Amino acid sequence: MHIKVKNLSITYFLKSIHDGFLRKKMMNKLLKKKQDEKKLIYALQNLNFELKEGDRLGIIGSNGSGKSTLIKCLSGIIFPNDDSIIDINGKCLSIIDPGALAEVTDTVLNNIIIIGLLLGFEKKIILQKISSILEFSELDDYATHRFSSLSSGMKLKLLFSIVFILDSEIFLIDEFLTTGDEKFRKKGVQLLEKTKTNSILVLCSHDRSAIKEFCNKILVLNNGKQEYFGNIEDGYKIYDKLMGV
Amino acid sequence: MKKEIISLYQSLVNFELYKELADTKMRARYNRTVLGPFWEIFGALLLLLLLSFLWSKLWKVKFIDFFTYLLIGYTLWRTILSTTTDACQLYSYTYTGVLKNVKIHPFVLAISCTYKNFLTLLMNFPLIIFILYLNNQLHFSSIFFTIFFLFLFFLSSIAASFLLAVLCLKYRDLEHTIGVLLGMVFFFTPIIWNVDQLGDNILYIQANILYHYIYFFRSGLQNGEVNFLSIIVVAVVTFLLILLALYVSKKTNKKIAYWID
Repeated sequence: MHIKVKNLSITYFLKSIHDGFLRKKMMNKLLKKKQDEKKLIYALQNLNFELKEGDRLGIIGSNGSGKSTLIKCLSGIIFPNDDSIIDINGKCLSIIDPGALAEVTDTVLNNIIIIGLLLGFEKKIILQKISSILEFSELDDYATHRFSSLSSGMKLKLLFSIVFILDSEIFLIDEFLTTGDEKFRKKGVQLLEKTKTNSILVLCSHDRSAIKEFCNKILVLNNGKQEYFGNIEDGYKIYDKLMGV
Repeated sequence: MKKEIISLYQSLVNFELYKELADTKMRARYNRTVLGPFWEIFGALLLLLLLSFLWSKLWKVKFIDFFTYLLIGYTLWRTILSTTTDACQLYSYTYTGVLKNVKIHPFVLAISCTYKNFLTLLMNFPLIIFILYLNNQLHFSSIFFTIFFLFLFFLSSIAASFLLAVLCLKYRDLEHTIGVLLGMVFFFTPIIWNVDQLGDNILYIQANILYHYIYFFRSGLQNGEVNFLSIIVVAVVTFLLILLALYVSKKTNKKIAYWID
């Protein structure tokens, strides 16, 4: 099980306000109007790092530094530039905004199934673990209730439970671990501790305590560039310097 | 193109996912109705009964003949219309959250959209068969033609849904234009009027691809035989649509995530 990233870069053109309108585009062509100049965005530039089984990587950086872009790229949702190399060995589970996968008018039970399927699990496995998910999330009594009837805390608990009870080898998480009340958080931490040695965790977060609690390596990003990759203490020193703290 | 063919195949065999996506959308759509999708069927049936009563008098044809003709044509048209409408919003609205959050091939979503509407089409079959029975138009060969048509129609719908979904994601003002075009196509396609009324001018209508789809479906069911030209047109259009979908997928697969707002 490993993640190897070499020379990872992502560039794209920033959309202008006129993009996405065929009529406007055709009119501009007909009238031979000059097209708006497009701004090239360097979302990630030349990232290099390697993770092996048991590694827990925390990704930190200011807003817009490329943390979520990196998670999405490792998840295969967005694609890097052609010369980039991403070698991932292991079953990958990306958790960016699992709430966006829910069908709010449907029942909690059906949402567990659909979210599980979308995350790449077989229905057979989801059905086997459905009672554990409901039990862990303390929502046994809400199985046939609508997803929309849950409070936001309950929704997060449920999503956390779906993701971690269904289990995987590589977890790619974008700001998601600080979930629920104190009791649930403790349960969540215990669950994560169990999987610590036989999985890889990539966690992107602004929460310093979560990074220090869950991670053993850190990647500091600044405007899409890799400022540091290594141990937590040194990483935060560089990050604090960058932030001017 | 080989990669795209594999992706299409993998999406097609991912039955659990696209079935569940379709079921979820069906449940969401008919959330507060007791009859579910059958409510739409009964609603359309009522409309068609009224229209058939009126037009059979206007055009001086037997009510049951006109009703059968209208029911079959309109049922397929409704499927085409709802598939197109769903497809136009598929990537730009309905599944934005999915495309932004999980690794999924856009083909799976196009298949789920097609599957959902295809199921609704199949739900109309008991009624169609009953009406054909009443009208003494049940033929054994209809089974073969209908299955063959449904197979081609399913593939065409997947490809067309994907193409429309990508186009409407890239160009957000297209959805309205497509809606207007469909309204026009409805009147130029023999759904509520009989193609025989055109006489020698039938050649003009044969340029309309949807005519062949409607004709293949209707004639296969009603007469148990289909004009060879319509079979060829539907088969060739299906093949070309799939080829185009594969090509567009190859060209846009890496861009789709960036086009989503």
